Amino acid sequence: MDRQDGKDVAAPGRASEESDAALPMYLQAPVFKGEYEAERKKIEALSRKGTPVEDSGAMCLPQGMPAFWGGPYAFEILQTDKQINISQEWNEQTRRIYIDGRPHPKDYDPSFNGHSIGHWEGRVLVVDTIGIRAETKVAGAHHSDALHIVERIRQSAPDALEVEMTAYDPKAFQQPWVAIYPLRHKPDMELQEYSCEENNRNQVDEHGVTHATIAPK
Amino acid sequence: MSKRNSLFGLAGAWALAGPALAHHSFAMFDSVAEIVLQGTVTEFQWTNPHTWIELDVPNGTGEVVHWSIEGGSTLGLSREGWHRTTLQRGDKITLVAHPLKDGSHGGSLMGVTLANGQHLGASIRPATPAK
Repeated sequence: MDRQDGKDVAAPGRASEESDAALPMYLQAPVFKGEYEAERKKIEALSRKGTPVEDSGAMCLPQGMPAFWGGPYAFEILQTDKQINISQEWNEQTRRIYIDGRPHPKDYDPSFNGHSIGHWEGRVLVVDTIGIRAETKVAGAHHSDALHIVERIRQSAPDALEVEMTAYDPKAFQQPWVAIYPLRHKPDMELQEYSCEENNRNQVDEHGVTHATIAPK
Repeated sequence: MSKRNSLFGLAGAWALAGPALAHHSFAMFDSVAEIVLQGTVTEFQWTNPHTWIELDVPNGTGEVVHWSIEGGSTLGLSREGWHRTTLQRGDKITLVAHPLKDGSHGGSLMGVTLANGQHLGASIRPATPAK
């Protein structure tokens, strides 16, 4: 289904072991270890109950990396000699990838999208990202502060980009997590404004349950 | 940086060619049950993160019940042919929704039929229901 139609999929982490294989790679959780696997199972169980924990979307928080490429709406990519900015319509998000040769900062304050530097390997843009805040999710589950993401972004067809992402987290994953995000060019589409705080009538209570606010009669 | 290494020089937008995560959980709605509401629009909130249709629905016994129906975002709906003026106060419409599980008068929009017979989809229904 095309994201661009604005349709959404409710897929909180691994919906079920059976349906997992049918999901695209970016919605399939990594193979976790230790406490991270226990946490993933807890999140999965609560999602099945209909009380997903930490519904950051309903709280209007950015999804951050690596879920940034999950949209859910349109992206815009603008490039200068110094950097590439990627906007995502949902909640006015912007990633900045510095391509001027600078290194990562020594003591970067973690952010939702982390700090990204890129370089070209032929026609492939290779992006290295560190400093991702602990509350972002990898396919719906938690990562550690060691999360390090490498993306290889290439034009796979005249109207298509492919983002091949490898996420390394030796504290949380048994092996690196690989996901491929296919993007399609929408030449006639303009990004629109989207303020998540404009009229958010979906509140998350202390039990993680999302509610809809019904107007009084 | 050379022009040669500008992969992204194509103007316009890009969209993921695959399913997306929902903005929030839809667990509060009954994704199996469907209700049909015929009523009068009291307000159409053309807003984000979601649009809302406020609707007065006669219950058949002389009383009017007010319903609040959550629709897709302005981004999703506008790309399905909706506009901020698609619904106006006083419009008579018929809509289909997944009701709230708790029985209160709210729901998740599945589609609407306008007074002129035009049908519009909702752009909110999850394509893959959460298990």
